Amino acid sequence: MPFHRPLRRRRASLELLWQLALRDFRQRYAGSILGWLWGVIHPLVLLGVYTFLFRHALGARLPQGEATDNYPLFLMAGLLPWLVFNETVSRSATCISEFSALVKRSVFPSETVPAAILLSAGAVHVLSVAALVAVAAALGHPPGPRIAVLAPSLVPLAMLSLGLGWFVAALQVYLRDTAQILSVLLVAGFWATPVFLPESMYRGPFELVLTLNPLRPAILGYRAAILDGPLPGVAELGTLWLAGLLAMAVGWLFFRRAKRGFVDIL
Amino acid sequence: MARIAFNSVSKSYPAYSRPLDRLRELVRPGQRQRKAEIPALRDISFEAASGETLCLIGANGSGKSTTLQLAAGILAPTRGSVAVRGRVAALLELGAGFHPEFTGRENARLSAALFGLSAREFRTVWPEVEAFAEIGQFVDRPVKSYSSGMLVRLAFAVAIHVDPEVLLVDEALAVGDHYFRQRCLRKVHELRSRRVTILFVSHSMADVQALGTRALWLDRGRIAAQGPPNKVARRYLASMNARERGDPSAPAPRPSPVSSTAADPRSSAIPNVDQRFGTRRAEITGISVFDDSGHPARSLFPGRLSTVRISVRAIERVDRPIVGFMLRNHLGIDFAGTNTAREGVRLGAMAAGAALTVDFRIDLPDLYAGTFSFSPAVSDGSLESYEICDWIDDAVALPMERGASEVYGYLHLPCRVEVSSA
Repeated sequence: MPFHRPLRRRRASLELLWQLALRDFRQRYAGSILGWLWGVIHPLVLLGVYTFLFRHALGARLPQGEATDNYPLFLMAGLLPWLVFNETVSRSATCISEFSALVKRSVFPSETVPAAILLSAGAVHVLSVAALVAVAAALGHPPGPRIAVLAPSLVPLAMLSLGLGWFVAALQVYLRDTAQILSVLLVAGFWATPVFLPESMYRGPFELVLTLNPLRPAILGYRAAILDGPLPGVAELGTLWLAGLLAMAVGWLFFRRAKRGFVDIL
Repeated sequence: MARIAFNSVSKSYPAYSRPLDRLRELVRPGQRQRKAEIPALRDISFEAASGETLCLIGANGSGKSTTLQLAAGILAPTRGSVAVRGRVAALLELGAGFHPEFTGRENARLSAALFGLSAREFRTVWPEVEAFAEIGQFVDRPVKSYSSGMLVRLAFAVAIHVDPEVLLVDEALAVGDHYFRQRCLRKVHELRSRRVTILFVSHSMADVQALGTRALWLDRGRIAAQGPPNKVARRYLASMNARERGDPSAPAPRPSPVSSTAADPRSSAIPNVDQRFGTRRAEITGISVFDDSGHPARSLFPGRLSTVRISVRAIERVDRPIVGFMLRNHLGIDFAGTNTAREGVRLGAMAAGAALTVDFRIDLPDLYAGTFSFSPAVSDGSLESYEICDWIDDAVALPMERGASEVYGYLHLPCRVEVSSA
């Protein structure tokens, strides 16, 4: 009897996580004929547009020493990890009030909601990455052994997203401006991350921003994996993992504590 | 074994000037940011054993909902301890915990998961839940499009099908139609026979007395009384009435001198239908109330003769018709009622299409001023065993005028006083 209860709670939480994630994933493509195929089509169309825009219209060229000289591929390889991070964090910010009825009237493990958002965004992300790998192969970047770097880049990126997601989800309940502040910060964060611009363009004080940005190693890892480019250093990947673990720990502890007040405020 | 045990439980809600102060206090518990503490419950102790049905009664704001939320584990007590054993299903307020954008099916699955059911277990109980809730094709629409009745039906259906050991119900039975209420009540009886512990909040003293094995009256966060439902409900009503009598805000309208409208031999109007049920083998076609001079009554007068006229029509053959009515007071309590069988009048069998009008001449006792309603019924059978053909809740409502002398309590007993000097 004594351990019966927590065990059942954990099972309930897992069941709930699965249900919420599955529903969220289905909901994205609910009613559409192509369904989850949109997860593949969307990045491909984006890639086509960027190719036209940057290569043919603007004639953009990447400097020597990057993973590829194909700018659209370079861009997409960096954009996909940014998007999964961005979506998880920004959607987490408003998720608790969406579930306010459940929070107030049942013993609801609200920490599963940001996790479900991550899982659902992650599923779309995996589809997009698969599509990009295929296109890169067709454009002369066949996947090599470095594709293995995807896993050690994706996992800490997910942890970082979830940790931040928990943090902003809990904070938003108390401070309604959180989501607004966050959307501004995410725009700034986007430009502080080498997605659009190659690293060589960050000079002076911006170089420091780049070094401090925990997302940078993840972007490097993705480019290395998908375009078979230069590998990020062990120290860089280590920082990413450290940041991921730290974000998870802080986010989790903060959420657990803040959760006590949810019923009263919502 | 006590399934629910509250041990000196107090709960107060801290008040903050803004939510951020609350967060500060959570993050740094040493520094108090709260402005005040609003007490909701003070030193509450009670237990409910397996198979017991405990009703919580009390005015709004007396702490009933807080008690349920504590029992459900949604709130933590400020002081004291709350212990609940076994699988808990809770129906707190309307619609339990439903996500407005999710469909009925998705919400049911979600609730089932929260109650600890696996996906496979849910699939096995879902057909029963769906059948019990009776929401048709709405199951696959977002619950924000549901009526309050549908919400409560679905929530109740899920809660009783997850095989709970403890069921917490907050006023859920107040909505929903009569049939559903009846089915819920049957289900509650069934759960009770399976030794499920039920804790429920109700404003309906009829429910409290019908369902409760024990009642607990909360008054401003304290236990005012607990014990047998009849006793506690009576004391509660008496105190409510005492409070109300001091309230001059609802004066009864004076009767206007009505010019005579010759009393119809048959009543052909039903002024109001709150709820109607029965087999409809016979139907009530009209009900009217007349005063002692035979005019349609605009109000009732204590101590005077009134006539309640009920007309019925048989749709199919009715062998042993019984016509009667129930008088309810402003709280919805069945106050007094009678019928032809009870008064010793045997009505002959009615062929299909036959009509019948019954006049009940009643000497109204000295009753307290308030609104009373008449609920007419026609049944087939005897006093011991009958089948309701048609029942209309609160078909006529009339104010009771204040009599010449004060009525203490509900009614003044006809009384002679004799004094002897011995």
